[in-house]
Amino acid sequence: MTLVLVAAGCVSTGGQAKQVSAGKSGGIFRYFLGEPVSIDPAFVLDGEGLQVAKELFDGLVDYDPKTSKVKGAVAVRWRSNKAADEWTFWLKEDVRFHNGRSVEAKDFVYAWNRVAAKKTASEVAYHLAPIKGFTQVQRGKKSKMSGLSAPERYVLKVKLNYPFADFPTVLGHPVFSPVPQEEVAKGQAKFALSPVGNGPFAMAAPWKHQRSISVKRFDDYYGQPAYLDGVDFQINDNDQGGFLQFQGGGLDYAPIPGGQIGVVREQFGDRAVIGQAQQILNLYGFNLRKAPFKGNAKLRQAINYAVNRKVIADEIYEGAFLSAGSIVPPGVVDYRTPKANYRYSLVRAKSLLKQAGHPAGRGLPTIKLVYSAGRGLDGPAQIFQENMRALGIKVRLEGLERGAFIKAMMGGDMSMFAAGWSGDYPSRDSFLYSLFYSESGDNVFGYANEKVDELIIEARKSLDPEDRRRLYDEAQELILKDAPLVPLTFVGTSFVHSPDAQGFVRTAMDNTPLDRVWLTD
Amino acid sequence: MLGYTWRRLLGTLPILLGVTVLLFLLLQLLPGDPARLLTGDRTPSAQTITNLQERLEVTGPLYVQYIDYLGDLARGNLGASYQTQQPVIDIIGQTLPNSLRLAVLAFVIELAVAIPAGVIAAVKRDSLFDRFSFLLTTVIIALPVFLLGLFFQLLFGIRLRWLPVAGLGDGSFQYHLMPALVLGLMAAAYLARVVRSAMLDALSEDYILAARANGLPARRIIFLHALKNALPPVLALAGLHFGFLIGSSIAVETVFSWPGLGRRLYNAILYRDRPLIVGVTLTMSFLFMLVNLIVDLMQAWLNPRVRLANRGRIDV
Repeated sequence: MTLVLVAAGCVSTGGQAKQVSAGKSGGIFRYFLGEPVSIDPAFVLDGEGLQVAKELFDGLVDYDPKTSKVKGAVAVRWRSNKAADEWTFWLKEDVRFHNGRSVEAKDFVYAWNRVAAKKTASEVAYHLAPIKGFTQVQRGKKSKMSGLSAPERYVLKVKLNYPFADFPTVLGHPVFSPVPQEEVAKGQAKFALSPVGNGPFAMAAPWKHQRSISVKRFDDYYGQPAYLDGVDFQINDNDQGGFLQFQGGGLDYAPIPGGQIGVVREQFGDRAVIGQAQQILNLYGFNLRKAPFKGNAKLRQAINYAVNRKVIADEIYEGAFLSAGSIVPPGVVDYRTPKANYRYSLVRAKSLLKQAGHPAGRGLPTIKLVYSAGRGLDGPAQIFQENMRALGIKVRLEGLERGAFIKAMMGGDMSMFAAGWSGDYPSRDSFLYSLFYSESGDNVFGYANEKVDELIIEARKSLDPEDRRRLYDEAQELILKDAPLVPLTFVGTSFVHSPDAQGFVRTAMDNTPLDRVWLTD
Repeated sequence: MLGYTWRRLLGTLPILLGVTVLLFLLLQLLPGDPARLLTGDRTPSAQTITNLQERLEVTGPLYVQYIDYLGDLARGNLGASYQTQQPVIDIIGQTLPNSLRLAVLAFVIELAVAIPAGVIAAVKRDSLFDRFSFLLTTVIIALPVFLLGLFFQLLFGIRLRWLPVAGLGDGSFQYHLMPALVLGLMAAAYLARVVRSAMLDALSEDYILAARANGLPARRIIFLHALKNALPPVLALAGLHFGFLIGSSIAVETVFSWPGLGRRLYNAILYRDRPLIVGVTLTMSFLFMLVNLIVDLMQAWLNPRVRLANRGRIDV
């Protein structure tokens, strides 16, 4: 058996490189946060929960905050078999939970089985679907996934249902964090309010719902300890209020409310971080199961050429979002712009529309675009409507309440829909497989292309990162050519931080590793 | 009086029961399966949905779910939030005091502003003060709450830095002041007009003319005779307002990031979080009825006719 090493072609050392300019210790950072659904790794669903859970928990791996490359966290190194469906992880031996106990391989086994368990009924259990035995545990037939074992105290073995070379990338999500069984045993409700993890920060007090989450530096942390004494996550679900609070000196970090980005950019200079692409693609999907888009790639391409993404990105989102010329966001490792990137061209659009059999839109019904109302999607939709009018296509906009929107999506009662897809991991797979693999549950378009399926599965098997990138990129080119969607924008950052905050980096996963942040004052 | 109070309190029970029935039915009619809504933008597998539905206890026919709910309710168990899995009773315990403190403070501000303003406007009818207060109340009534809130935040929080901009902070008084002021002033704008017109009515009564003719001092006439008679309609409205102040301050709670009941309810509705919606609504309904009862008792105290009508069932 050939042993193949992953992560930049060598054994990952895992430790963080010591910072050249050491920061100053001390201080409490006041961070604006929307109310998370949960900060317990088993239920982390949203960006807010991810931000907090990432401070409280360290999984096997983490992502480099700047390049998104996978690096070791609790795992010191890992490797897979040749088929990429059996993975072994060697753990650091000096990692401790906040309660002082050593983190061992069995804690990962326990935590992952807990997420998969039927009784837990986690919304995000799907992350573990690649692991052997997941389905039986989800159904409640077994309590432990057969693919998961701890042959030694600090060695974790994972068997997968299929080859998956990007598996280590998946493991940076907090749902894969180790969890101390003895703490959960004290009561799930208690653990949900005050999770005990192994990250750079520990809970300073139980979560006060809709008020605050306070964490303090964990002094027994195995890595470089955090500079800050603690972080006070001040919970607020109103950007405007949070921003005013920031201006009033009550916060060290706050998002910029929509419509004020231009002004804030001028006012705050460097302290306003605007337009750094995140792992979220905003898109308009075509319903490929129904006329007029079923089997009419030319029509879908025509629409793609007629959408002026740049106007949407620059005018509606004031430059905070980026116009999307691809499906995979620029934040992934080794990003390349695809050839089929649909740069705006009304001439090409009109010619394609003619080839599609609808010169100047003749013979096309009014197209219904549904979207979830109250999420700021009206502006872009109106520009889309105008762009389509220039092409001769009539579009009716229907902003629906969230529940109604999901119902419409499931019922297929629309010709186009607006959706945002946020990648769970900074990988091509989490966009291409999830959305476009013919059997994926999230393939909302009804898209199926055998060649694309083949390329994606090939890519999943390939342990050579360069080869893998090539295969995924090839699949992306094909998908873009088939045009089951209109890639619209990539969500970008738009926030301000206080002048005292140093080392403030936003990752592609839209979180800030607060252990690297320090205050000058 | 005590018997009356008991009867009224008992009378709230069927109403509260009705509230639960109505909410169960209405929530059933809303599109969107709560289990599906919880999974965010992902398309969950059928097994995930099944597991979630079992966790949420939304399997089986609606009437069975309803009976189960009533059973739990009778044992004082309001269930747990679908979203956060926190017991509803805890959520109410955490947010209700915040809402109540805000409401009481706003109510005090409302009365302290509206009654003097209304009385002066009525006594000095068509004066500069009367016209100015008419203009001001019109503006405040027309102004959306969030705009007034924003204006206050900019003025007192950012420009003058007198008060914290938002949030509950450490729970001290200064954090309460701005949201309470906004809430209180909005309510006062309505109430001042009612006070004014009730006072005008009272002042035009014959007994006031008689009192004037008898040479009673103006202050005594206004405050003792006119105001006491003008108070019942004012009280009735103020009572309604208090209910409003507890429950419907979602806009204020949002602008000021106030951890109150209203905001929780709003979030709960987005997620079809039935236990939380029903629990919070029940609490609000009960409080609303309680306040109304108190108002009625005060009416009776102010107006002997009400009191007597309730005691001896004498028609008036």
